[in-house]
Amino acid sequence: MTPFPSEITPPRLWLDRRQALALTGAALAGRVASASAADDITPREAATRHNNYYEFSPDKAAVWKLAEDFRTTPWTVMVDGEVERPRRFDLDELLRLFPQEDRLYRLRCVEGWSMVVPWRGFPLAALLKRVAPTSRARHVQFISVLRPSEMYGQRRPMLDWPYTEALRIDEAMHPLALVATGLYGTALPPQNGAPLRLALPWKYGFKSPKAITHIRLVEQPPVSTWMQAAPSEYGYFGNVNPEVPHPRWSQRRELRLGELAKRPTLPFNGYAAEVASLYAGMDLARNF
Amino acid sequence: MPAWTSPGISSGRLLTLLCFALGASPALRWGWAFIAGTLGPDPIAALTHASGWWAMGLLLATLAITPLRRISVWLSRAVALHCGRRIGDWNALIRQRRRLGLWSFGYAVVHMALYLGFDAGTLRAYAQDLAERPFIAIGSAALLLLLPLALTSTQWAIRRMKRHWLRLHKLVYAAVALAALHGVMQAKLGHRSAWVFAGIALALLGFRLAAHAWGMRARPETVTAPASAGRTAASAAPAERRCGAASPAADRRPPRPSGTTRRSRCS
Repeated sequence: MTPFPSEITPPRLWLDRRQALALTGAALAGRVASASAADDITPREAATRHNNYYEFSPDKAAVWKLAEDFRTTPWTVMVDGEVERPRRFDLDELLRLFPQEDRLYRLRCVEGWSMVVPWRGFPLAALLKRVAPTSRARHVQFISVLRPSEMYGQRRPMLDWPYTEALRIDEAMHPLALVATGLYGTALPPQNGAPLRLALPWKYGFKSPKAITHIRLVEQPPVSTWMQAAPSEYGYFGNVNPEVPHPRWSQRRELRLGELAKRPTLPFNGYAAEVASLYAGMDLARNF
Repeated sequence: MPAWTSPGISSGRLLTLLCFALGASPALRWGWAFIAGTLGPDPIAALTHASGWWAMGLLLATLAITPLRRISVWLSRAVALHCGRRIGDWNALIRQRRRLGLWSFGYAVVHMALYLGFDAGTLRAYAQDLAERPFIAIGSAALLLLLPLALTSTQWAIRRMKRHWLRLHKLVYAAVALAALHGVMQAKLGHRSAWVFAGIALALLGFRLAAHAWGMRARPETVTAPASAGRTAASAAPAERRCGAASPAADRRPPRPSGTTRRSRCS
């Protein structure tokens, strides 16, 4: 396979990444939380062959195969809505504008499995600040690509395509919120959401949309795809919470890919120290 | 006996072998996949789903046998009446019903054991699951209903229990209804097999209801001799005219001795 233009990294940036990698340990131990020492990195094979990506298939084992021929170039991301400088970014431009960082995050799927993924990307806050949100920007809506010609799952009316998700502006501005463009030191493979997706480690995986083409800043809270499909099961926040049961999967425990027995699930997926203050005073059982 | 009986191997033996292969093949395949490491990064979930799928599939197969026999007997009679030719029916399938049922129960036990052992892990977690997710309680109830059926699936039990055996084994209707509900409730969006199974279960239960409502028995052997003779006589004449058969078809079908009827009802 020929590399994507976005995969060919300028040496300056590449050296920066090297430096960033060396710093990862220190950075992760400090302000930016990481998965803890007990969290071994999930084998790349598992993270890239076990994907919930309904645009291709509801079958996690089939996605990587179905996504093989997904075209990610050219790719642009429109950022508009309640912003002072709405504009369309080219993918290469995004990579040039925002320094790439390596982040080791736990990912907890609402289906009761989890993994530990070394992402590469840039803070969502950096992108949002670039377009200067107005005072009326209270929520950020993310819209994924609609391309049924290549995304087989979109030919079935399972969900209301295209996939959309949303965050409150303070969640989107949180330093843990990452726009991921790579994993395991390489560009994102199509099955993991190439060319860019979100990584929000304190929320269930469905809150991190893949293959984003449009980001809209809005005043009213948008209704996400899963809220629309099953409002009783999926709320606006989607924060990992073992105390809020789901009708199909236990949220009290999770299977770390590669292991056989389940382990307890932590509130906010173990990132409570960093993000719990965002929800101070809220009834998390009702605002799930 | 089916018409395709070959001289070397009896059709009954062949059916038994086929059923054994059907029942054993998934377990062998999973054993191999586990060793080869091709079950994916979450092998327990994969096996839990697969064993549930096969438990349900084989349970539906056991329930499909009676309608299949009923239809095949009806077909063979119709052909005999209208064309004067005797074709085979599929009554031999009845001998495989308990075997398929036991395979189904076996996979249901594997399904439950994987869930209890690896997913829930503790009885406390199981109790929480029962309270939080009704589909787990419903699935557990279905397995509980299958347990006495599996335990009484020996020849000895059939002889000892006599007519009570049939009454007890009517529990399978409740079990399949609960199992279908369990499947549909746990199915995530976009997964269709549980819905297909539920549809088949509904059709198979509907067949019994319809057969009951129309006043005919679902089991072909229980059709009483006078009723059968009457129906045959009524339709024999036009059949003769249409197909030009030499003699009424009913003459070619030897009457069933009542002794064999009772035994085959229970096998």
